[in-house]
Amino acid sequence: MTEGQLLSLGQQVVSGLSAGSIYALLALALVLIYQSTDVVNFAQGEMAMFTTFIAFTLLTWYGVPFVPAVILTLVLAFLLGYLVERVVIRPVEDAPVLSVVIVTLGLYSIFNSVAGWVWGYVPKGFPSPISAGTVRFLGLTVGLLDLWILGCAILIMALLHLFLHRTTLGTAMRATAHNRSAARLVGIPVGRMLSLGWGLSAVLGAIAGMLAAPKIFLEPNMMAGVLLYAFAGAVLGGLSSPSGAIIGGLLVGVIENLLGALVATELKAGLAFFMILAVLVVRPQGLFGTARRRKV
Amino acid sequence: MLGRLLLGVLVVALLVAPLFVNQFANFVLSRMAIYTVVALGLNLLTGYSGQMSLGHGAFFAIGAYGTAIVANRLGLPWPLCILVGGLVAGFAGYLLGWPSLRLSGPYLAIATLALAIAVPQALLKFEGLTGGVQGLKLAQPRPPAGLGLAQDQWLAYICLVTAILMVWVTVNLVRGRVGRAFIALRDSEIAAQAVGVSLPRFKTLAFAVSAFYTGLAGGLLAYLLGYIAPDAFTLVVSIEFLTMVVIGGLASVAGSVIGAVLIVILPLVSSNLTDYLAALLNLVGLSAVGATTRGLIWAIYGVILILVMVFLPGGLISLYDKIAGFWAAKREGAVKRSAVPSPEVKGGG
Repeated sequence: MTEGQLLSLGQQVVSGLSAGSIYALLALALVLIYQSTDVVNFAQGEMAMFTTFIAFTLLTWYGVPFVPAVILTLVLAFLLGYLVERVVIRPVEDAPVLSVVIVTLGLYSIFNSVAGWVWGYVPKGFPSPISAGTVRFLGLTVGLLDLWILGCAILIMALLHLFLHRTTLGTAMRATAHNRSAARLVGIPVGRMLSLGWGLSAVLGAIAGMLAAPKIFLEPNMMAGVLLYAFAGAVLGGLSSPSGAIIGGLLVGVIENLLGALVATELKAGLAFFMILAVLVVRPQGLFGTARRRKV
Repeated sequence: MLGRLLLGVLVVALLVAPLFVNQFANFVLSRMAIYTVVALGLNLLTGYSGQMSLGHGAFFAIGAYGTAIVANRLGLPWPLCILVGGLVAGFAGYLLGWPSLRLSGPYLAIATLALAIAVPQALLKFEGLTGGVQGLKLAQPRPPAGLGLAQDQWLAYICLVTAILMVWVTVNLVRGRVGRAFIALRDSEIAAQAVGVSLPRFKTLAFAVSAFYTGLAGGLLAYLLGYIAPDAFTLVVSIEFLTMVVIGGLASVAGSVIGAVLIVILPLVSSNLTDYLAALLNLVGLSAVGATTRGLIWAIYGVILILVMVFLPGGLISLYDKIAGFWAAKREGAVKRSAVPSPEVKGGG
């Protein structure tokens, strides 16, 4: 392999990591919800898209400066997630998996079609605080936007880790996910923790959406592909492991970019499908997940 | 007895209807029949066998393309082409059934969702076979000379007869050995295996049969439209399929039919509804920027899905069961009262 090939491979890995960090954020949101409520939220991507549109509206229609607009969006995203759990998910909490999946599919339809109705289907540019320049680093030409996405994602994941492991509230949330009845016995308001988890996931999704939007343009179907890769990442890392979801998401991003460069770009979705299937068949609990024993 | 009579009247009414209604109504009838076949197939898998699928749009596409390709390249008669489409889809379902043996619940949903997204992309990729974005055209079956039927009437007959046939097949299937095996595996894999039901055999069979139904329906759709393209088989189609089965009622043949009829009617009705909604929003000054209110139909689907899941988890058919059960209980109560001598009478004697 010549040096030039090696460099272009390195280039692919870097842009793969940038895409992968978005998958990782969304995968993390999926895992947070799955851990605490056993629900796979098929509407996660659409909620992310919807909140990104809210940010877009604040920025371009109302002329709110970037930072306040982002903060306001995150607050609204949190409320959205919180309310969705409280109003729609709670009533089917004890229903079979199928019912819950169908409810999240219902949410998917609602968010997707309302966004299309309000904002239309024409792709829109999303402002980014980082211009589209490049820097040279170890001989690689790296897009500033890619670096910005990767940096933000790492920062957010670190903050989330600190929140979950170093604060009382975070510990209470983990306790709820771990053993609901035990958590209730030690006085943790379990219901509120579940809503909180959904709120937090919606915030993660909003961040993923806002980071992705400058690259893939804003439109109601923008997150469909991203969600699929996030699923692949979450399944790869294991739906029960947050750090697994991050590693899985990043891996999926890198694999996707490398294969896209080496083989064919048109079959990307097929690739995600085969990756999900292969992982599930060989190791159903994912690379880092723990298998659950079934009781008779 | 009354039920059988009503059923007979319904079948006869369906069989004469294409003669008396206009072209559009025949098209709607045909679509209802096609969706019924899909609903029956998906219900066999999800309702009777307990395996979720978000990927039936993919089997629908495989059936439609299989039919169109065979029809165009080999020039076989249309019933054979539809059958080939169904068989190809069934084989694909059988293949997907194997990895699915190890999956359940949300994992199966994710894997089948990925299939639903992957297949339309593959259709775009393999242009030589599928015609890429342009899709494929195929010649619609000509009505046999001498019957004096118009094209739309003949197509409606093809779809309706297939649907009625599949209803009959399904009713017998779920009553028989295979159907009972599906249900046993759904209710308890361990208990079913303990009495000798082979888990891999019947789970893959459920996938294969379900995909076969859906492929047949895809073939019918290809002939009904005379033209197919990848954008007719997006993820929303798969969600639509699951929606109708759930709204109608899981593990119920009648529920499948009701769900299919509703999912075809709903867009026709709710385009008016969304217009009213838009007018209402305009009144309060919330005029939307989006081009069309028709897009809101998916929001209505979503709301209906959630409402049904929360308030009527058994689907619309459970409403009927509840009412029938209520009446039966009432009648039984009346019988009991008249049959068993009341304590007062006894005490008096």
